[in-house]
Amino acid sequence: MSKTVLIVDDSTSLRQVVAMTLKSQGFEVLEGCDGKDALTKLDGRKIHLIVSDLNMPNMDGLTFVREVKKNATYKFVPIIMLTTESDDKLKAEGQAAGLKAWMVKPFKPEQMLQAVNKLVA
Amino acid sequence: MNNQAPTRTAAAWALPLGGLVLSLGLLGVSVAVPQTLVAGFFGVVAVALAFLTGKLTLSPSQAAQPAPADWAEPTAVVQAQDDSELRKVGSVWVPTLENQLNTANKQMEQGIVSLTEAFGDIHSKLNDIVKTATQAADVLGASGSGQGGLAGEVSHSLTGMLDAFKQSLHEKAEMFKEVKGFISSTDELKKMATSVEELAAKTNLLALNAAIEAARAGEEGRGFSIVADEVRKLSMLSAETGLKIRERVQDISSAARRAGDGAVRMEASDQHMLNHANTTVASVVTQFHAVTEPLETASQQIIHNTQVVSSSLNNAVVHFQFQDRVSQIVGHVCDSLEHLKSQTEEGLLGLDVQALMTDLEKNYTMAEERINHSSSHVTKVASKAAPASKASAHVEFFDTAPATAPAAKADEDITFF
Repeated sequence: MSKTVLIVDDSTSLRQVVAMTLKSQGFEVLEGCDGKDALTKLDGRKIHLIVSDLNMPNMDGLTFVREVKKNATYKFVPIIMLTTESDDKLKAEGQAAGLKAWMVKPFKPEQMLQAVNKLVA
Repeated sequence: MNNQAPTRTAAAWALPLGGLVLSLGLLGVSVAVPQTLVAGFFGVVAVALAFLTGKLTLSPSQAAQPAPADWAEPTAVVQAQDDSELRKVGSVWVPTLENQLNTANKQMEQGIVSLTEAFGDIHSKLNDIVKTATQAADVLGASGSGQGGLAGEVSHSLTGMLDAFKQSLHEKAEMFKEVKGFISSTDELKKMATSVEELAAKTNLLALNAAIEAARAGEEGRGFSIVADEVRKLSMLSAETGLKIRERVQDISSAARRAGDGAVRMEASDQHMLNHANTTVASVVTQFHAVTEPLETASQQIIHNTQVVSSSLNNAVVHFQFQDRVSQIVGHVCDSLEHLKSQTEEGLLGLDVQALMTDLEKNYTMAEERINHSSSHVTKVASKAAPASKASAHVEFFDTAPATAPAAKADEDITFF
């Protein structure tokens, strides 16, 4: 049975690129255009991993991560932050919020797949 | 609000503001957009910024020369004119630039989304081709399972059929051996029947002699004469039976010899048929190989080439990530322009370039932006995005250890904490 990944990013093209990379390896993909929209996808369905952007309108990535960690059903779902930001302070905030990995854009497909496979294994 | 230079003129603002504008222009120019139209927008914005820089920047010689007498105006009037022009910059020029940038940004995003969808569709179809070609290659013999594929299967089936045929011929040959053995037995039976006849003839002669001797003995030999007569009758019956046996065996022997002759002819025919079948099967298998091997090679070539194209396509699509980065840079430029607009509402005295730069820097998320910011006073542009192959700590993994746990690199691209 294929694994499901939720991609959260306000950039449609970026969501498409991540989705294409994951779908090519047999992953099912869900998409959210920001943190607020992504929270509506957490409706009880099985999600194995979340890949989220940091800077987004309505609800940013760190707030979204904290909201996910409050959700009893999804608090153990591993989350990768995929962002252009590489500031160490923000990374520390992300780690404290419960992130499993921090990936700097632009990503390499094999790098993304390696990280995803490591975290959904 | 700037309150430290209340008597500054436009010329005094020119250099720092020119630096800011040049910085924004460089950010605009640094965007590597493949679409001519979008690049045109960014180009127009960059030229406009450069024009403003030129308008606002006085050369040292110009600044040093005293103004001609007929240019001399009261400072308050000059200040008022400068403020009026500056407000126009905020109310007319900056919104125009923002509109151009936003339009370029939207068009670029729409184009990239369409391209990504189209490439994704092509990528998906290529994957379907690879699956189909792989299945075909598996059937044709490229599965690597050691079964030899379809040609091997055909060869195996035909060889099995030949083996069954050979087995059948072998069993037939065994039966022919039995027939030959039977022919040999009938010869012995014939000899035995002849012996029976000879024994009967001798017994008959013996009984005849016995009857003569009994007659010579007179009344005492009468009983013996009856026995001798019965023995003679039995011997004659034995002779008849022996004759019948010999005739019957002769018939059987003749039939067996005919069967044996037929078997010999059949053996030769079977061997000829077997040789022909062997040759035919070998020829069919060779011809089948001649057809399937090129097909198998073609399938492998299709798989390889399609995978290469698919991989290249995938890598090409990944480069579309630049749109997200460009969009963010343009967004930050627009935010700063908005900030500049709000400052110009208060005239020259409201301008605070340091605040503009500080506010601009706060929004940065990318290394290129910071490089451009720090080098805004020189014409050096971070024109390239950080490459996707950049090795240093591109991915960092966090384990369950405390957030303050030090990082430990696992390899060039992935760092574990």
